[in-house]
Amino acid sequence: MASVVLSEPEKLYIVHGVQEDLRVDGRGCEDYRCAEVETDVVSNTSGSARVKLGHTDILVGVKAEMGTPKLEKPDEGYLEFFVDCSANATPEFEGRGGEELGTEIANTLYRVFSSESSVDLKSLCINPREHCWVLYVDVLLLECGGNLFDAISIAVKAALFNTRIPKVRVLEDEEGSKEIELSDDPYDCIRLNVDDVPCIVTLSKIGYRHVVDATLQEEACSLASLLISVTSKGALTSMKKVGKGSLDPESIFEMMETGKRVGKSLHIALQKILDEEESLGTSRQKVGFLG
Amino acid sequence: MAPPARYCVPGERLCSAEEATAGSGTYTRHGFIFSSLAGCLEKRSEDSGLPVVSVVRDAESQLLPDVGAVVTCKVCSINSRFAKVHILYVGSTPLKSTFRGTIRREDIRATEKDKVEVYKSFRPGDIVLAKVISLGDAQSNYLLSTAENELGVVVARSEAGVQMVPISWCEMQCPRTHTKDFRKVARVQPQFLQT
Amino acid sequence: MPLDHRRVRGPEESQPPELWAAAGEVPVEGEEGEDKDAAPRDPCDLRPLFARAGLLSQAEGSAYVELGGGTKVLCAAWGPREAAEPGAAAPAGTGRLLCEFRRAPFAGRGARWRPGSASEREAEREAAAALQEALEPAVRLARYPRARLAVSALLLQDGGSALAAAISAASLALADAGVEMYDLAVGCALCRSPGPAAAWMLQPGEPEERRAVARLTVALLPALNQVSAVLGGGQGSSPDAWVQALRLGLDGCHRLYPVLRQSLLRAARRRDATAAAAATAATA
Repeated sequence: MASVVLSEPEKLYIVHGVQEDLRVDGRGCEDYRCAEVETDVVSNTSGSARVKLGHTDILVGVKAEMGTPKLEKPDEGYLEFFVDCSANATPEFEGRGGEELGTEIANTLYRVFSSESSVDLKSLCINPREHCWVLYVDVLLLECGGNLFDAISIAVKAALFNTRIPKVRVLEDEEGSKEIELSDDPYDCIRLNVDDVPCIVTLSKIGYRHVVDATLQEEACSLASLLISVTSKGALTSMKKVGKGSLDPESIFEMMETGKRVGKSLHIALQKILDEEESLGTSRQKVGFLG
Repeated sequence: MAPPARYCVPGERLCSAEEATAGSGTYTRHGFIFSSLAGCLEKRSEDSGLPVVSVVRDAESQLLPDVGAVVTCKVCSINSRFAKVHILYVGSTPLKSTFRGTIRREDIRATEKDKVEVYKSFRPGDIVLAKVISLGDAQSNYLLSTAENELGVVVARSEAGVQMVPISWCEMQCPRTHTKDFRKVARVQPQFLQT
Repeated sequence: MPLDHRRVRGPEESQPPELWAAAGEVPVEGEEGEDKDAAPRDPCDLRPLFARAGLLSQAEGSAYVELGGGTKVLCAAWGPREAAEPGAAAPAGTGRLLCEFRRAPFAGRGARWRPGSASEREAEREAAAALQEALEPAVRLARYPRARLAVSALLLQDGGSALAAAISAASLALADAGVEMYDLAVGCALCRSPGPAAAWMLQPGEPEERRAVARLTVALLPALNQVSAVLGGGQGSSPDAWVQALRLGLDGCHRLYPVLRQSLLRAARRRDATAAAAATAATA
């Protein structure tokens, strides 16, 4: 992963700051950086979103394609995640360098979305055993500035909120052969209910405390972090320890409590932005990239 | 008969750090000494000060070449700038797998470094005593030096395939053909000569 | 027409008939029924665990862990070796721990996994990464500058809680190889079956794990009381429920620790005894 090199005094400065609940950029331990969320940025997708969190910049595109349901779940559609670590983010990602991180993030997303309640997969089914919608969620890292997981999960949720899947009907003629008919009206589409889509909150252990939304510099000071996914109702759907270090049990319990609290307010803020964008409709002024 | 030896596993608390000093195979944390190996506990009291607590494994625990360690190595290739070697022994302990090292031209001897020529100092196949001066950086492997009287070639064979005899600090002679070859010869310390 | 022997004359994909049988409104009772009998078990129950260290002659360290119910994991560890590409990835001054996790083609229930298939490789790589994260805090990598340590876990049979068993076995193998470690890492798995009031169960078996709505694997360094791995997911529940699960899992780790410790002590004694025997034989 993209990393910065810090000297010992620099690390000490950050650690002492965190101890005092005052971080290098003036935030408290439970504050996120200022985030920009914009949906519907790529017109060739079914849904897309771009999230800029500090210096982390993520673009997510969702494409809906028709496929066959998985054997174990004949009446459900499914999601496919792909994370592309482009060399724009850091030169280390050039060639196959970003592949490992990409699969790690994709695996984490699969785990986060493994819970049945997160997305109503049954609504993606067209006719059982034969056709369903497959949502290809492609994540692009445009810039890495720490806290990738949180930014990606916010972007995925925003993109899923923005996703519009065309309505189709299955017609059956008298011989029993089936035909799929696409609705004529381009605005006639299904929207996904994203109320239960979890967001990831990464809590990095720095010194004796933990912080949310660590910058690259803070990540360099942290040996271990806990990654938890929280729904808007405050339920935890997955958790994972990342990093080389270990955590003591009590601090894990504290981190989970903080994660739930922070995650809930994150969801509220995100939902507010998404609803606002939605209400503006086409009159919304598009900022686009580098705006 | 001696009391049965106490065996311990990594992470086992052995004693307080005030009662003893931590020896090999142990580490100290929060004022206690813990074992870091699965093996037999040993407590050696020294005349002065605290006893040393260490955990030993019967099998030689794997050593790694460390900065300052004297290693025995075999030259595998030379060029005008450096000689590449395989490290075979650290001190008197054989390594389970070989580690590659490099002796640069300027580290071959201590004086007249600019006049050193690698091919007049080492040849492939020589057994060399050297000291580890650095673990190397991202591009290189272990850096070794022979810039001491006690370091350098200890065993070398002539073109006739006979083991040569050192005749000076920079020459060796073949006992059969009497040809002389240049080498950076080590003056082997007498305590290492028992075989 | 000449016959092309290289081509398999059949459909590219095949599907087990059970899937279609269920759709035909034929209730499959057999399996459910037999599971129900076994269902009321104490959630705090640990399955019997058998561990043995130092059984492979060629590897520097090895361990075998078996859980009652059929999970069998074999681990081998190799002590410090020269890093293949010097200095890559690892920060200066520390060694690298390479972990590998393989599943035997016949490990799982049901159809044979095709070895080397993309999904299989992916799953193995993910497990290997989890293994590495669980073990790294336990190993004193600073003692092995510029070297690499390797540990490979082979899952012979998957009867549930496989990753947890692999973590325990791998840490035993590393300790048996004489690698300096801060502590052993003990793994323990949990799962929660569907149902609103279902409790978390320790060390689920394969059928329980398959039906579970949430799974969790934890690894503990018991002497230091540090958690080195937490990996889980599934149906959402309140943090308190997860805290409870974690506590239960960590308690399970504490209870498993003596077994692993004993096996390691036994291996150390055995090794010393054989060495002593060899020494007396040599002098005689």
